[in-house]
Amino acid sequence: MNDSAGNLPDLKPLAQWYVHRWHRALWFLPLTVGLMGLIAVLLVRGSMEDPRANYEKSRAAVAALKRAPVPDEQNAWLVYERARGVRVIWVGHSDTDPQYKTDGESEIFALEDVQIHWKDNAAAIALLHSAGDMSECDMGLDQVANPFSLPSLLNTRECANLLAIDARCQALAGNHKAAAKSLRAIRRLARHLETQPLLLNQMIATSFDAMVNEVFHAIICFDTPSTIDDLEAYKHALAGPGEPFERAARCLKYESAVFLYTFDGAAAGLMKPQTRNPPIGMMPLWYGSDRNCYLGVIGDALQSFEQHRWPEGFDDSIQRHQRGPSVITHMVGTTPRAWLALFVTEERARVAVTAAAFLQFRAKHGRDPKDIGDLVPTFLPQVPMAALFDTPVRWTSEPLNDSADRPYISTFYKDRKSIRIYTVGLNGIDEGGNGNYMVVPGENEPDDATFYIPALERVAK
Amino acid sequence: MIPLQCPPLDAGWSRRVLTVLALMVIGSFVAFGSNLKHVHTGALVALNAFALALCAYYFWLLFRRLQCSLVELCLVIGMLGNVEGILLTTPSLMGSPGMWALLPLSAAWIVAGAVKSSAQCALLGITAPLRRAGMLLLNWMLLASPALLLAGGVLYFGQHMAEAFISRGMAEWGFWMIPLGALGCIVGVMMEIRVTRAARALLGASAS
Repeated sequence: MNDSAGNLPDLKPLAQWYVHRWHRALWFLPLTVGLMGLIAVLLVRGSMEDPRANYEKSRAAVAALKRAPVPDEQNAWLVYERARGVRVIWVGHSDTDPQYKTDGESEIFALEDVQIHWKDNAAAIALLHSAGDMSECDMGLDQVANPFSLPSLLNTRECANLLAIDARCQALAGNHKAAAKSLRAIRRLARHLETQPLLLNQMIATSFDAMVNEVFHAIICFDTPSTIDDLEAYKHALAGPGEPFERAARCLKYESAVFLYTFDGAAAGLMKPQTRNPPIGMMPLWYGSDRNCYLGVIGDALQSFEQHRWPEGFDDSIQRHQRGPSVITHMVGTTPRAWLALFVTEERARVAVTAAAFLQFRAKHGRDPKDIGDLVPTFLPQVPMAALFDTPVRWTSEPLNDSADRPYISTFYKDRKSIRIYTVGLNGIDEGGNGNYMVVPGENEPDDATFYIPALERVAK
Repeated sequence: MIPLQCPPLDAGWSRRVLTVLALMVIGSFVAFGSNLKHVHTGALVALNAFALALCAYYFWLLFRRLQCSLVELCLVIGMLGNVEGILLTTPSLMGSPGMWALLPLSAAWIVAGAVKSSAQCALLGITAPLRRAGMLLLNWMLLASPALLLAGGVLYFGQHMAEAFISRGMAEWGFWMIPLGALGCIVGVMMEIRVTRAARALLGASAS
């Protein structure tokens, strides 16, 4: 080494080396790829984190979610399992399978095959009713050992279907109190699923709540109860779980804790899918920024739910928190539809209860109330409010020309007058009770949560 | 810069070995393009082998066949320490075997820049230590400029297509990397022309 280089007698080898550059030009290609990788690391380095350190914390957080064990005699889940064991499956033609017709016309439940199927399942239905009366439910799942372990949701769905069949058959036979008991048992099954509030469980529970609303809607159309007592029984069975914001927040906390545990475990190579698998082989590059973005988005949503307001734009929230690659957060960004379904179902439960009270008023006074306030306090403790907006439930008897509502509703009310009890829905706009039968309507579609009851003239006939 | 002896600066076989390894890296992407798992494994093995060989080649040139001033040596050591230190202390980087290739590749970039700078200084007759240090910094920049240009283009123009991978902040960086990389490429080409002309003049003079 010299402090400064001096003049040299022979630079020919150096000049030759410099001029023959074609080999070096080829080497330059992979070198450039490597340098691009270096630039990527430098760009996201500030947000990179050690997944092993996070894994310990997130594991402890999931372990803390574990509930105290429930004694077998108080555990509804064991009774549900017994019910599944004695359940008789449908062996008739798929066209008349009643489990797919519970929100349809009544004729199907009068078929001999369906009546036999219903009676064969009496033992299972009795067990499901008794499970619904139990307050505790422990599915026996260990989220630490198996983070996203779930019960057999198909079996659970079949239990709910069986109860819905029972409700329709009982209503057809005029046993509305028994029908209401089955609807209540479906609601209880949904609440039991929520004892382990992973997002998927929450979505299934929401679908059971939606099933209760739809079965009652069909009963009102085709097997309308007329006594105040029957309607009172339905009203109690229909009462939704309420507290949609609290339920959404609870589910979000649980789901995010389990998700972070899985995400940290996968990034640390301690849990499948491990980092050596190719699709997430670059995970260290985006793990930290993705995790922080996810935490920011979930934090925003939680804050909104805790303040009883709908989160303002999940996409905006992602943009606000994204500091680098955020692959998983963009995937999770689709879950707002799950929360939308929860709120839509809650709205529909509220209008269903109001409809039952409305029919009670009609049964007592022989006329319709002038407004919803007339139902208070005899039939409702207070004027029911929408789940998302601070607006009361409304009703209208204005004809609806172009309804995008449920097919059986459109058919039933094609030549009949109806009254629509509704809330303004998620868009906050009063669309005159024009709703959509989809669980989550499209962006520009009318989305009033609507319940149809026959107009008084129809009943008078 | 002092070539110590008159024989060729490097052996022909060493260049060929490196070229074969570089072709293997490119080939691993082409051959296994539809299979991510094989690209991952193939690129990992080939890129690591190439990067290590490239390091060895340039280190050998720098320390066996060339000499640099103390200022340059300090800069090389400082740069190596910083870049490798940044990579080694980046959380979770060591958890991904694919990232190991970055260590020798960054070292190769630093030493290649030093070798090229030494060669250019000798051919252009630059001897003042500070000017040689400036040439060293410039060469590192010039070597990285195509990567800057490409990475900037991907970040800036790819953000709309892959916003899950590229944040807005990264796209803003990309916006500045494009002109910087383009400028580097232009300066690099001009420098190559100038140095090559000097080298050819030298070779022509010695032949005559």
